[in-house]
Amino acid sequence: MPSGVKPGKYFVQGDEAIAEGAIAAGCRFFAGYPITPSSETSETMARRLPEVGGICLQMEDELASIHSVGAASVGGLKAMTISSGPGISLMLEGLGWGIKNEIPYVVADIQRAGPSNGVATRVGQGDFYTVRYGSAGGNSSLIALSPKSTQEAFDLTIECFNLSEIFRCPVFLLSDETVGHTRELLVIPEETRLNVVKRFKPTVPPEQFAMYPLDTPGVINYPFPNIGEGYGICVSPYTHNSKGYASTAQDIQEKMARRLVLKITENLGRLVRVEKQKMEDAEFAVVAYGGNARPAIAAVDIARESGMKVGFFRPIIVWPFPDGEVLKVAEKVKTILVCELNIDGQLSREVGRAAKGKAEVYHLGSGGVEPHLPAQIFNEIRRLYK
Amino acid sequence: MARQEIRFAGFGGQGLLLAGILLGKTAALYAGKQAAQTQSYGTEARGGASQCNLVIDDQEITYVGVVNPDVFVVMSQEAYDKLIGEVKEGGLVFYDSDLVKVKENPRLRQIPIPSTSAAKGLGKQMVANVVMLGAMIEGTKAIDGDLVKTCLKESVPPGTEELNLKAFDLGRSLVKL
Amino acid sequence: MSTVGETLTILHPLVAKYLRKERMPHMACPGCGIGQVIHSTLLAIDELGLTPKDTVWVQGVGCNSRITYSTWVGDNVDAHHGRIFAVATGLKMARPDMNFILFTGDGDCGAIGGNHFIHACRRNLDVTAILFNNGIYGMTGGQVAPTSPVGAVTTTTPYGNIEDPFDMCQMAVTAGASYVARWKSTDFKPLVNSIKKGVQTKGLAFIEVLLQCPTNFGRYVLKTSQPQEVLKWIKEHSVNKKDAEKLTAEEVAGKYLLGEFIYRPERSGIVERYQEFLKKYQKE
Repeated sequence: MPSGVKPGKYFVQGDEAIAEGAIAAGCRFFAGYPITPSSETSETMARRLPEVGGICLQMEDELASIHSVGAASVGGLKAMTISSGPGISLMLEGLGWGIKNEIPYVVADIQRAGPSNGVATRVGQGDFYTVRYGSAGGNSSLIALSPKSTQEAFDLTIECFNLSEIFRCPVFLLSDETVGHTRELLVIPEETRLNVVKRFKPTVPPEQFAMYPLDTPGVINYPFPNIGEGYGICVSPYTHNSKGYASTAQDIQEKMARRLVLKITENLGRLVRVEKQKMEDAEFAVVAYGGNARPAIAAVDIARESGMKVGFFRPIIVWPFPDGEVLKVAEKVKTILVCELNIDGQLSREVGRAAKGKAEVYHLGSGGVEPHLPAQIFNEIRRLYK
Repeated sequence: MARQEIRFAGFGGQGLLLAGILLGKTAALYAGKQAAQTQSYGTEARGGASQCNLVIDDQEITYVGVVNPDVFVVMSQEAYDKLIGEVKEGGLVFYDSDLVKVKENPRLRQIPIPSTSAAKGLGKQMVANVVMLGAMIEGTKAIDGDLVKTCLKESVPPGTEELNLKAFDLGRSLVKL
Repeated sequence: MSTVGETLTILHPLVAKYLRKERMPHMACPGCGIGQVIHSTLLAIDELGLTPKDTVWVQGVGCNSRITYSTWVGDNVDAHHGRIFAVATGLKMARPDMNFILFTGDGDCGAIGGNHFIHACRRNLDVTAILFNNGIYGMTGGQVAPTSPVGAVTTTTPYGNIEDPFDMCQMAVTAGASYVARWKSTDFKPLVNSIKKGVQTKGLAFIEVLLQCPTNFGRYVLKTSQPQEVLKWIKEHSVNKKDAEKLTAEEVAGKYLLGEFIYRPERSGIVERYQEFLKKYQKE
């Protein structure tokens, strides 16, 4: 199979970088439904996937997209779909099928201002909780990564695919319209410089293989046999035992729920990735992610020039939420200001929870459409700085 | 060079998006600068107006949007009327004098470029945007003009390279500061 | 077979060959027609020489699917309610070399799954889908289905259904499926032959089977608990399309047409088109 990696320097939108990252990671099935501001990724995939022998389909809706993506992964291909808020809402049921059956694939959410259809062409950050808790039934954990730039959109998409294979689950790339639509430098390295994780395959015969390792809930790097490989796999939306046979027994439900939660929560060491700037002597921390990260960094620079000891903290892996890292920040500073593009407060709620009262946590929100202006954030820093 | 905010605005179809992307591409891939290009379709874009924004800097760009442009390249009256107030004091305005009538403004330097008629003179009105780009590059020296021409040659549809390069050079010659 | 003193389990030879013993007995109600349809399917598989290595069973949600869930000795992919055709699209495009047999039902195909069903026919996806039409939602306890007859009393239409039933065979024909047929559960041989023909036809094969549900359709709609009464009703309300040509409009009204509606193996589908497409556009 051709690698599809095209090393070089490009001036492209984040959406396009996502497509190139997916192809570099080995994605060979893409199904999606057009929705602003994600369509540029779909269009790039439609152009590029056939070049590398991959399958790119525009399905009839988001439901068909997520289900066919999960199925293509069951069929043996690395697969991906992309959408924005309203479409992600439609995909949540399909996401459940992927979570339950431990199917690796990637879903990208290019967040836009909401709720409902909101402002299609402009940025928002309202899906932070949706991607984590939106699929019904609970009893699972979730991995989501969020880029702040075009380059990171490329790099983190590859990381999403890798984590999806390592943890055998769907992984979200939680991006937004600002990163998706800003054109900037993308450097695609030589293929040999990329780290791409291959799908794990069983090393024991079918009779000895447990399709779902319910008895070892914390295990990762676990094999994922596909159809036609002689393993007689069983995939089911219902609670099922290790073989995949549906069950109503309480102990099976218990084991399954624990498997889906613990496989992530018992491996948090692999899932902490944050960015810190000027935090060494900080007494005040500004927290932001995605397309709102760089305005926050600019505001921190302005504050530093004014003599304030302000630092910046950003979760790159946003789910599972980096509780430990946030607590460290809270123990160090007096005040934390969370700047996000929603009025209801989502990231700030998680930061507040993880801070355990060790610092005062404030929320600077906006409805979206534009990222925060550095001046807006700086004014708030000045107002709150002690 | 410190952070430069450049805004191209006009009505849809004039190729201002292409001009902005071209400049950004030159800055990022050829001139070794940091560049970030965004578009605005918000309230500023009513009535078919289109806006292409570009930030160029030597340092890493933290805010990718354009708030108060240092340079404003404008090709429609509506875009001018709506957006002239946002240009920084002392900023440079390059306007298509065939399409835009400016208001007196001592805070700004407003440079007329008859790009539409110049383009028509070359036989293709569509390259008026490249004429404006040439003028803007000559007037600001934001990026080395030869680098822009290299990028231009590699970016335009095959067969149109000569026409576009002519338009660019014509634009440069039209700038009288 | 087990030894004397243990519970005697006798498996039909087709079941012994193709279904997982530990999943037997299946959960169908006594008198349910699903067993007959599975029987026809297994015989078709056997006569065609399909194997667990090259054939996948794909199921949705509903009696048809819950009964067949994880029973096939090969790979089983059970989808969410209504998503079976979307799932089949992903599976078949990833593994065009394999055979896919889909089991779906009134709601799974005709209600929640309607849109995916239409587009799979439009794309002429190369799979064989068997629709178990029992005129009601059985698994969930007897609610009205898009296939329920007018006037049917069900748990959600206690005063009688006022909607017309959905002719999904006609929908499949209009949307582009290569092979479409309808039989009753008791049309054993025609059903076996249709399934075989469907598997061997490139493109989407859609085979609707009218079958008896004594537990819900019998109980609520016909006010009977006897499977044979439901079978009788199905027989009285269906007619072979060849015979229908000789009848008047009144005589045919309210009857299901049985037989083959279309066979156009020459119509290409997305699978082979995509393979051709890649030959042209794949670069490396």
